[in-house]
Amino acid sequence: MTTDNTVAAPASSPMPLVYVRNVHKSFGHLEVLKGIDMEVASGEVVTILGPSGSGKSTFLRCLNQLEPIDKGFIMIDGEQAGYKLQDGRLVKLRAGEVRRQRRKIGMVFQQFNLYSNKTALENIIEAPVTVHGETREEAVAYAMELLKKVGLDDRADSFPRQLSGGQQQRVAIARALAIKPKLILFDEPTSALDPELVGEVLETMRDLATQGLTMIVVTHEIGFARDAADRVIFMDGGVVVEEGKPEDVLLNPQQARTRQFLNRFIRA
Amino acid sequence: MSDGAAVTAAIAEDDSLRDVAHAYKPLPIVRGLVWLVIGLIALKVLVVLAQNRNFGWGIVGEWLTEASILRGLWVTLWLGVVSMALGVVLGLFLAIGRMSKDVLISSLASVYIWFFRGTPLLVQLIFWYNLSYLFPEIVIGIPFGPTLASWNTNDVISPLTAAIGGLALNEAAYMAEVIRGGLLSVDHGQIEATQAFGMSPFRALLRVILPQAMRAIVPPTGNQFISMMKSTSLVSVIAMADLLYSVQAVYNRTFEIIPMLLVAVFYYLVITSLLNVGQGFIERYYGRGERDAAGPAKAAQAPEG
Repeated sequence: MTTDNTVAAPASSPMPLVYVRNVHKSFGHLEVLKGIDMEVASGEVVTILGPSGSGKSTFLRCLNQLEPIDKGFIMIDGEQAGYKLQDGRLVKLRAGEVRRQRRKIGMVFQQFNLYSNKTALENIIEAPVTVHGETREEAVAYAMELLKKVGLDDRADSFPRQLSGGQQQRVAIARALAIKPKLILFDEPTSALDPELVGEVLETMRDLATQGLTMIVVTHEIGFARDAADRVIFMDGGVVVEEGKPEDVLLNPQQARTRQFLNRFIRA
Repeated sequence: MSDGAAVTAAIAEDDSLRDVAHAYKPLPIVRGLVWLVIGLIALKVLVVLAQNRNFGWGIVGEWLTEASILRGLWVTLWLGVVSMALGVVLGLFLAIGRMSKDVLISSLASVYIWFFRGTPLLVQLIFWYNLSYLFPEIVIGIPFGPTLASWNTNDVISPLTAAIGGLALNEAAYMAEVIRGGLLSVDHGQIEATQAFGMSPFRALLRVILPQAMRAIVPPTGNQFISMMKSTSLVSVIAMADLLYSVQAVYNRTFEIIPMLLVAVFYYLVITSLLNVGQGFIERYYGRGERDAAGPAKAAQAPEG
């Protein structure tokens, strides 16, 4: 781990926003991530595809430290996630410093996870006001702007329960945008939605992809990967099997496992 | 309805007859009988209550507004409220402590709950009242270090402090479990969202988790509060002049035991009824994020994308 870190230490050269080396993660005896390397440039939209259990969601959760990693390291925006180099030693960060690092990252969950005791608007302004120290007025103004962007400015005062799944997920996207993140992580954002509601969420995400945001999207939506991603990464069995431009990976996969996975979708 | 004439009659007329909006209900025979029997029993009970002179309703009326009784009622009220408030606050800390990943903190909280739930409240009250036998002096200082302050235990432990301390410490053990149950009922995704957005655990608890847990916490807390108001009657054994003690003081002189107990029963019922009403209001407040109907209809959504 120490040797890995010294390799990454000269951060003066332009470094990708996300720089991941040899990340391993186990749950008990089950090794879910078996050495992930990844780089994501600022402004890039990356889609991670892969069968269930391939470790893609776990990897995403490792990026904003919802899961601790066992080996390797993750650099985000020039800082090592969860650790710092101090006097030539690698030291674990305190909880408060971890929270500070997370403030740069927005996250959209499969199950939306909107705060059910707060209205759509309150959900969006919560972190900007209580964590980022914005005034309520500026937070509300920006939140209304974002709600308009996701087409829900008329539902600002609705509680999550009163919104459809697709609307909830669009509010959740607005909530992730409200903290002006350097990076947004999408963890299977359409997997919990009724089929007829998937479109509205993907539409919102396509919009964002064209606006220079850095996005890492774990999804089963091949269509989104094809149309909106700059790069597609295919994961299976806890490793990156193949990556490249969407047209290359999706239309002309080099690896047998990728072909197998994509074939299932084409037949479906 | 299905006589021969109807068959040949216009279909339209038959259709209008079959409209369920104009249907008659059959007489509820079984339910009527049940009502009749229960009504008779209730009437008999009322007659007994009115005719048996031993209830002494006149005496009840006389003592209901007596100054000494009202003073006792007041003591019962604030003793219950203060003890409950302290019990809830301490219970919240215990609940959080019990859920802590730190083994020391969670076991301390567990031991506390184990002890205070495991011994009778009456024993605890008598124990606190007699604390001076165990510790003649109460000392605040650094363990094995200098003493900062000290008091004579008999000066500190009056019936009042023993009553509040005993009730509150016992209540805290029960409230800790009530609150812990509520916190556990909150969906883990909510907690994860607060973490992902960099909220501190304290802020997340205050702004997201506790408000949602309240829906599960309020009903059993109402139970606890009602139970607490009645438990205050136990402090009469340590010479605290609560409602029961004041009533006893009267019937020890007058021997009008039943009428005086009815005075106490009346006030306990009034207090607990008011608590029921208050609980209803609080439940409605914390349920507001959970109702579908409160907002604009879902159907207002237009298909997009």
